[in-house]
Amino acid sequence: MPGKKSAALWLEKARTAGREAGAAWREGSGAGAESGAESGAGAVPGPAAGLKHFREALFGWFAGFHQAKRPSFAEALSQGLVFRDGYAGSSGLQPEQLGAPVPLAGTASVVISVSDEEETIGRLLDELQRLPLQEIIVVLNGCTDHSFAEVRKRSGILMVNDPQRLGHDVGRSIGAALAGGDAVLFLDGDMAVPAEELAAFLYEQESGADVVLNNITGFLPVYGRQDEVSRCKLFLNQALGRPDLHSNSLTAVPHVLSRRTLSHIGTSVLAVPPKAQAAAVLAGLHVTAPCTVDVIRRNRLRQSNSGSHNKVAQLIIGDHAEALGEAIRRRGPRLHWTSLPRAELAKVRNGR
Amino acid sequence: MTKTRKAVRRSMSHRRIITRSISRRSIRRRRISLFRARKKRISVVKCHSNPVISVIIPVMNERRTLQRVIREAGKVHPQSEIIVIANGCTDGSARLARRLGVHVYEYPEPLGHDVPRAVGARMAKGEVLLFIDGDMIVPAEDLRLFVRHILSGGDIALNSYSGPVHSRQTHPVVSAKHTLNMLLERPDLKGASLTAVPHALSRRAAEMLGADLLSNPPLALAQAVLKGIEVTPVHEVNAGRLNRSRRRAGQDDLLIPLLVGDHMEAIGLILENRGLRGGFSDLERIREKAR
Repeated sequence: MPGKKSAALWLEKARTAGREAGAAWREGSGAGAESGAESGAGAVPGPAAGLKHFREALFGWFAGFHQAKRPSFAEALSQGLVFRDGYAGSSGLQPEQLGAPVPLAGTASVVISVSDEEETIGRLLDELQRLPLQEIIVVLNGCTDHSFAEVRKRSGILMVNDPQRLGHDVGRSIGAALAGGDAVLFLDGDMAVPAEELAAFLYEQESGADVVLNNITGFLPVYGRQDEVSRCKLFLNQALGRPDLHSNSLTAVPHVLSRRTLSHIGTSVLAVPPKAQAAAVLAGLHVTAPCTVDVIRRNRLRQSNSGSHNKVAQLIIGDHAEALGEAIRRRGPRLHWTSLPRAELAKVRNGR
Repeated sequence: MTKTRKAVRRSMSHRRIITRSISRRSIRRRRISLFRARKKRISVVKCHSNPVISVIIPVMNERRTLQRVIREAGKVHPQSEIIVIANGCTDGSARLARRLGVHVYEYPEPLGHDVPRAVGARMAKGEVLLFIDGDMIVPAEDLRLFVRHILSGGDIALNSYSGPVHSRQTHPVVSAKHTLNMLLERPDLKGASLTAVPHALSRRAAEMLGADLLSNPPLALAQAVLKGIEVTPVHEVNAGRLNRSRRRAGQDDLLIPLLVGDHMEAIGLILENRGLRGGFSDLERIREKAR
């Protein structure tokens, strides 16, 4: 952790670097100072080119500046904000045109499963435009509303449309199989999350994590009042020897998987998320849950978590049965849970 | 001989440590109760020759509590036998049990965690098998509830104690018990388990499971539910509070992997019987479309 002094120093350096980068873009683009005044004058590169240049400049500066040790995402974001201020000041572009100032490589794919989410999918896609990404893949399935039209309104989006409902989580697997990025961020179309919050997941992946789970621990009640699904999630992690992951699970979005994870566990297993989680943990991949998106406050209201809740709960319990079965197949009937032989154990516990 | 004396001396010093930490009045009360206990030692618990109830008590160095445990067991039912499986005892608890007039089966070496239950079940002649522990004094009136359930037609009467559930992340063993019950489609059992005593089995249930299986209680519970044997949590006895050995520092480290592993085996049994998903639905998941 940097001290207050060095943190302030970094911010100052970020502002200077941003200012220099912004000035460089203005010069390089030939826009000059007058471009702001004479709008629409000839072949001036548009804001899209500016956005691209800004993202590369921020990422380049950040990577060079923090070679030894990457700061936390919160620090990275505050440096990014200051960098953007500097850049906007000297380039003539507005800060809003520069998107979320997050130092990401821009090589990640996003996979969004959508079934009848016309209310939220548009807003979610707009948020994603603010992030440096390689591609956005939307898997529509069984949509009977205007979700398709909402997605088509926007450019540069790869869309898969299956008129049939694929069932839970199958869309993730289809999207992941199409994705070409170094990492894949998985989302649901029913929840618009600010770009900065999503960037945190990608940032953690770029910092070395293979699986970045959403940390919902803070929203859970005590065990005695938890639902069955949360309890299953906790036990799976405990059984796998990762009690530190609490009830955090691939069942929940958002989460990020690295390319390494996908090549280790494959994409078809993603249709049963807890099974994918078991596979990732058992493969020794770096699974972690450092970021939080409050899915509860955003109140995802849909049939599955209100009316027919029980059916989905049963599905997820079944997924955990499958995941534990997978672990048993790989590690034997007791996994790593071996103790002394029963007689030896008795001797140690009750002998005198 | 010297070995026994040493053990006695050690237990005496242990007692002194305990008394030091409590008030004067309770010391006096304790002395009186100790005196009474010594006098009552002569009173013999009779075992019926044609018992309805078999009380099975695994004992390994439980001299301190055994007499009171047996006394409560003797009050459960007029037509009962008490079976003490004394294994690996070096503190004279087997001798003490014998003097009290109960059936004692003595094994010089420890049989293993929960193995004495299986041994006791094999020896039992009654229609109801009540399992308790030599280090946990449970009043007869509580024990009677478990017996009564079996006598009125039940097959397995569990202790409904669910373990401590007041934190977000509970103990792995408590978590394992809840999850096992959930996967057995018996969420109503919460954290109740055959690992906890007291519990009672009908002879029919014990025979259907086979005595040997009782040495792996989670596996036995899973098998019982899978075979359609009736299982009911009948009454809560706080095993956590009463169980002396659990408080022994550091030894949970050894017990946790044993119990979690037992639960994993039990989950494996469910999957063997009910398929990959334990019989839970896939809703409308079209798996062929996954890539």
